[in-house]
Amino acid sequence: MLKSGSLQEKILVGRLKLKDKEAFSHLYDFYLDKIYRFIYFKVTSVSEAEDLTSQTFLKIWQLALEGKIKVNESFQSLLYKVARNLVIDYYRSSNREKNKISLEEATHIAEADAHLDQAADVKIEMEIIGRRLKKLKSEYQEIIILHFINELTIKEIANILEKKRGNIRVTLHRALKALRDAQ
Amino acid sequence: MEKDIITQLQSLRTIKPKESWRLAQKEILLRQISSAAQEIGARRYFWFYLKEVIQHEAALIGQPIVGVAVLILLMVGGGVFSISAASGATPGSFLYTVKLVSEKTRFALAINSEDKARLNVKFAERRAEEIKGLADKDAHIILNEVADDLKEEIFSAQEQLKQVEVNNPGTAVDLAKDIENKTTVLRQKLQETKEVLAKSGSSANSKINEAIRSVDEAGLSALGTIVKSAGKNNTVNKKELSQRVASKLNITKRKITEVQEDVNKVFSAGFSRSESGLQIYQAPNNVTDIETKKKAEAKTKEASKIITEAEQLLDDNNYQEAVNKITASEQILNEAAQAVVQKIIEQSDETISSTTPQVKGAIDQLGDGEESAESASTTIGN
Repeated sequence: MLKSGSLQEKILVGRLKLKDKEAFSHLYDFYLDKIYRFIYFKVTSVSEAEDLTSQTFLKIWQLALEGKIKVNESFQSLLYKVARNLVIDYYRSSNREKNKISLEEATHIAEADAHLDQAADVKIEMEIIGRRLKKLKSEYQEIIILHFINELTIKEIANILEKKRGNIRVTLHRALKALRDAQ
Repeated sequence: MEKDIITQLQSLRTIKPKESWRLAQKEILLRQISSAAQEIGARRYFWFYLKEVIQHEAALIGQPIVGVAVLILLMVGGGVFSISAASGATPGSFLYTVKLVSEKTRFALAINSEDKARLNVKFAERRAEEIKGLADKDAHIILNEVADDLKEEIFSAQEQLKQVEVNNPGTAVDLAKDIENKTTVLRQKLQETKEVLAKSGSSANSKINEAIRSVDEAGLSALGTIVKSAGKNNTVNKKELSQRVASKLNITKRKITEVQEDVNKVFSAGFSRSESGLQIYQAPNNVTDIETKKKAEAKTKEASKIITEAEQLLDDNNYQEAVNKITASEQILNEAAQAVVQKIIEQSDETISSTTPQVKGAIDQLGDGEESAESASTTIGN
């Protein structure tokens, strides 16, 4: 199983740098869900999340062609930065109102094998937390997604957001508080 | 309360794109990027990665404690774990680079030239197996690189044997016998692959020819070591020696016949198109062609004459001189084969630049100019 920052990943990124389609395919498979989730909570519909996710990977390929991918730097960090910038551009260009995603769309429970009633409860819980998350300001939202949903460490988040680790810890604490208070 | 929120947040990890979209989108993306994508050979990637490591990790590896740790890792992890994990990896696959790095590590850690030579041969055998697999898959770009790797391994084995001969003559004969036996098997395997490629008209066949030449050269060199040693002490019996030399002699004789046939074909043929398609026709030869043909014929005759002398020497049990003659014959034969390959490339270039679009269309059917030239040279050089 591939891990972010592992030697395996570095080898794949090295191959990507050499424009290897197979390496791109492996990295796509590994990061697709995470990038999709990251974008999902920041846009207004599933189709927009899908579009921006695709654009993120295309942009990565473009960077590989331009020789701008570095093996010794975090590939995960690069991916999130690209995704983040695409979301920012998306709002800038369209003047869209943030986070008006329909809540019916907010849950795709992947192959829930739990009992139907349990699955329904989980879905309701997810809808509630999803709705509250979407009410948060962008800064809080992304830090929560990165840390609690996509399981990134404080150090990794600091690298993506280009902030100090202490700053990330404080923001994370505030973000959780804001999420609790959100109705 | 906080725990609840975190648990609820964690439940959002199940949010994923729809499976149908995931698959369709991947296909679209891969199609979009395929025009700029490249087929990466393991060798190219190995050097690229080595360069990256040197550029970015050199300072770290320079520290004594890290250096020792890396060494231990290479000995324990590199030697056992990596090889077992990647030993079945095929060229172009993700783990293949790990396999090559493991091999390089094992080679670097080999204690003496004898072990190194044995490893070289072992790795060459692996390359031959991989080439066979690639030929079946039509992955010719990677195949060319793996064939180059095989040549390097064989050349290195040859060099290591020379070192053993100088430093430890006692073990040189056993090693030479081993190399000679294994190169015979390797040759056979490559010959089979060549036949598979010839059926598909592949351009990779010229690379296989080069690899076969390298294997033959190494085998002959090992035979030279065996014969030399037999002259000094009685480590090899006469019957065995005679069989080994006779086997090499027969291979060279077969190669002479093949090159002779190629010379006759190539220097009197051209391409034309008739109603029944692309055909070979008798073309009037120019002065340069006639001269080149004469030279090539002279060389094959000379090679043939030398091999007859080698046969006589073998009958007289003069093995050392017989091997020298076989080596000389092979060298001259290679020059003749080279002239044939050169002519095929010229013919192909001329045909493409001077023919009408109708004829060029026929050439296109065969592949591009160089490829068709290369594929036409399938029987040349061995």
